[in-house]
Amino acid sequence: MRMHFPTSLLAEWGIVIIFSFVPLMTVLRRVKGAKPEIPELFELSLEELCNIQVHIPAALTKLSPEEIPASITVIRRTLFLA
Amino acid sequence: MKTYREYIIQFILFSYLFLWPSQANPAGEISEDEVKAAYIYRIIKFVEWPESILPKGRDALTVCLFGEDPIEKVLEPIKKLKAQGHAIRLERLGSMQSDRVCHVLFIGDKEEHHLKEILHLIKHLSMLTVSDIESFVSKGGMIGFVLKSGRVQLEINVEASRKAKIKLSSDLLEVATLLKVTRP
Repeated sequence: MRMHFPTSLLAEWGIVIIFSFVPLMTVLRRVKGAKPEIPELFELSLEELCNIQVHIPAALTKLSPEEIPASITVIRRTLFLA
Repeated sequence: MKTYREYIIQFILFSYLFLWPSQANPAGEISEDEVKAAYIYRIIKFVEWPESILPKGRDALTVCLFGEDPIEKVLEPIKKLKAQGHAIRLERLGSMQSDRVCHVLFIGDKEEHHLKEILHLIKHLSMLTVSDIESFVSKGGMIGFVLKSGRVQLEINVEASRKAKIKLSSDLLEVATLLKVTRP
C-alpha cells in the first residue's frame, strides 16, 4: 500500500525535519556526554566522594495486604440551614 | 521501485528505533555503583599492606570481586590506573579459596549468605574486605558502604583491619564512621 504524502513539498520536508529532531538530538547528546576512558570520579578525593548525591532509581515498594484497605468510606456531614 | 521519500521515512523510523533517548541513567546523574567504584580506587591509596604481601614497586595490586555485582562494569577503568606504584589487576572470583592472592576483596551484596564462610576462610590473610552488605563491618568486614541521605558513606572496622595487619591511613579514618568494639 502506498503512503499518501502532503501535496506541498515544503510541508513534506517540514514533517521530515520535525521527525528527525528526536534522533538527531539523541545522537548529539550521546556524542557530547560520551564517557572518557577514565571517569572523572576516580580523580575525586575521599571528602568529595562523601558528598556526592547519588541517583537512586525508583523501586517498587512491597505492601502486605493488611496495609491496604479493602475499601474507603467517606462520611460527609451535611449542614442543614433553617 | 521505492521513491526517495520512502527511503527517508524508513531511515527516520529506524533512527527512532535505535536512538530513542535512554532513561536508564540520564546525563549528569551518578549511580551508587560508580561512586563505590571510585571509592575502592581511592581507598587503595590510603591502605598499607605488609611488605611480604605487597612488596614495594613489585607485583600488581589485585582487586578481587566475589559474586555477581553491577560494580564490576563500573570498576573496569581501574585496570588502567596505578596505585602506590603498582599496576592494578581486577579479578572476578566465582569461588573463594584461601590461596587466592587478593589485596582487596569486594563482596557483592548477593553473597550475604556466604559472608560468614568467606570471612572465616580469609581471617589469617591480609586481605582488605569491602562490601555494601548491610551491617558489613559489624559482621566482621573491614570497610562497608552505607547509603545515608542519598550519599555513599564509609564504615570501618579498625579492629578487623588491625587483625589482618592492614594499616589504614588517618585520612581514610577521618571521613569514615568507625565501628566501636566494646570488650567485656
